[in-house]
Amino acid sequence: MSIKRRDFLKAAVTGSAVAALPGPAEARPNLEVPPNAVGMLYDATLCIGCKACMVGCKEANDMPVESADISPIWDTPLDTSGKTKNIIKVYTDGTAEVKDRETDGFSFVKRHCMHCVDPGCISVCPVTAMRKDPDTGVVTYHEEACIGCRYCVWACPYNIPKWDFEDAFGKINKCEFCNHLLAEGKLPACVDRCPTGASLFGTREEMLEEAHRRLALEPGDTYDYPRNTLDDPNRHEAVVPHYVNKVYGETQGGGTQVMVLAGVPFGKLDLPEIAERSFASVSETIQHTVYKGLIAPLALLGGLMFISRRNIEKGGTE
Amino acid sequence: MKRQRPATEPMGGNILTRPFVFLSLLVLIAVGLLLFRFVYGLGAATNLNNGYPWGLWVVLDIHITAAIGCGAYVLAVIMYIANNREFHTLLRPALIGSTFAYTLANLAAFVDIGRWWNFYQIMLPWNINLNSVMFEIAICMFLYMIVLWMELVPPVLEKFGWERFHKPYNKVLFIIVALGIVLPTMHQSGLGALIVVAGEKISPLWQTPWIGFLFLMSAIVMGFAIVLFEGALTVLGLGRRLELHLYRRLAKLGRWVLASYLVVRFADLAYRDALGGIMQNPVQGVMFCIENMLFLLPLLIMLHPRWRGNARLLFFSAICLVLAGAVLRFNALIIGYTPSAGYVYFPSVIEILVSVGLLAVEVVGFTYIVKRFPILPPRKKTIAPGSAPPASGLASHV
Repeated sequence: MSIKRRDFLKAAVTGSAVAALPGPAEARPNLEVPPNAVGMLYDATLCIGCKACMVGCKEANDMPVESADISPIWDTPLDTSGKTKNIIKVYTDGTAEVKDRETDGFSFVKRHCMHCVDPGCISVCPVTAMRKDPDTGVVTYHEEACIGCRYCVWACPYNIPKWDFEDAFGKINKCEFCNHLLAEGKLPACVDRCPTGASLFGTREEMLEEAHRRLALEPGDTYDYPRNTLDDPNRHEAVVPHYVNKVYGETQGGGTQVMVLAGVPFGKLDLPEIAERSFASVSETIQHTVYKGLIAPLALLGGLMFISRRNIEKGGTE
Repeated sequence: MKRQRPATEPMGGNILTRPFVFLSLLVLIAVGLLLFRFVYGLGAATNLNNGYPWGLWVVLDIHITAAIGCGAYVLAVIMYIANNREFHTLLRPALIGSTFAYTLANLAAFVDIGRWWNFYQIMLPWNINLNSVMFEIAICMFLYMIVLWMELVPPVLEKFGWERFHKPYNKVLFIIVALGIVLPTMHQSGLGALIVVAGEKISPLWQTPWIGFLFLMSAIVMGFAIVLFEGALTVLGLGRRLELHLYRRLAKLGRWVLASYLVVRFADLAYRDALGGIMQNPVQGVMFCIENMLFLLPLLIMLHPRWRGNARLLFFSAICLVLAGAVLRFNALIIGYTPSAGYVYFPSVIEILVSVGLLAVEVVGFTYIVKRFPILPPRKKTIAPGSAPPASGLASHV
């Protein structure tokens, strides 16, 4: 991308590129939430599984219909994939009678990129094809740099980036928060299409506040649920369900910008329990401790050159 | 130094033997299948999927092949750093093996990346991501391949009689040697550190901050083993004389690395209280046991002076250790990996045949080169154990 290239050249000219080489000696902490971090709150208890968000996503991102059937009639992907960025999945148990209950119940869950505060995909990418907007925090993919190594697919704790195996000249596919729509001041397509307010858009701070507000409600009371955004007048009243008392994405792996509320344990919804310290920071701490400023490798190289030179001279004049 | 018998000479003999022709056929099949892969893509040629985006090619043809290529690395340390020249006759054949291994590992990386036409992006300075373990591995493995090619200059000079280049080459040899030790140290540990970022997707039996160190140690063990293994193969396949005394002493050195590996491996498991992982997943548990039995058994053999002196047992140990390192890599990258629900992976016929073909390249190439280039010591020359070896190893003899 040209912006990246320009940044690099600028940095190289001012000599700060060299300063960027040495890593920190002490443990690298999790990355901070960007200043104007956008956020999304998905409340599984509000989701009716209509999949309007999936249709909206396909339209907004110009993605084809995908089907497990031999003759596809409508879009029925089984997972996010090279052609699907967003999917509604369902958890069922036993008789699946009651919504948002773990036993003999069911719950929907919407899966797409969580837009991690400290993303593994960005840490692993050898060519910086995954980038996080320093302002909004949206994680985008840049195919022009991508070599297709699939390290991001392999490493993502949420199994989100997907390689398009059906295309001989494929690329990675993942949700990019409808970055192109955000630039026009519009809502992400999935939020825009959601009829119940299950997907809500705002700043990460607002979404976190709203999530905690809901967790503080008494189950059985009614609450005036917003749609699309917090200040949209088109709200609706609903009975407060039994929430699992946790905002998924508040701290997991250093936090995410897409957060989830649900009535069944998150583990059942394919949302793994992840420690607060990001895997990226663990990996980078090891990497930069060993390779700090390339001092250790260069010292090793120097020492080896000295010893081998002496030994070759000695051995050669036997 | 007066000119004596050359330390090495081409074996000569017929190239197109039956095994050579058969293995060449396997190579040709692999080439054809690779053509298929490039035309129809990874999805058509492999059983890879979005649950298992890395499969046989990544583990066998990059990770394991590179580890098998550590023979030259280990011998360089012994000869030029520890200044122990007794193994000099083993160096050139090990170099050939290592050069093939690393060239093929780099080639396999190119085959495995989905956007191969874009590979040069990794060399563009504005794309560099110093946080990426993959970046470090890719650059180091590529550079080390070039270093290995440069280490093979002397036999080429000798073959074509360009003796006047020996002197300048020997002057810069120390730089090549030093790079040839630093680069594998970096990327062999990197190949392990690669899995750290996957966090809880890898079983605690393998997911540890020490995995990079363990991969490096096990690669060194494999380097020792592959020198023994190649030695035994030249005895069996090419009718060379067995230099048992050398292999025995090599095993004596290598066993300390092997013992240290096992100490670190189990100290780390105990410290993290991770051995319970054996019970949690039966497949992972069994594979873990196989992996560590393959490390332990050779150690027992090598610790016992009489067993160590037995050529068969020594050869058996070498095979065990190469397999051990291979199983460790399979475990850490595939068996120990938990994909999202619903995905399974077993390599496709094409993946297997391509991998077989790449291994065949190594054997075919090795056989051709030792018959036409001065790699092995002359057949009739006898070096009494303990006698002063010629000065040269990597260095040309002038």
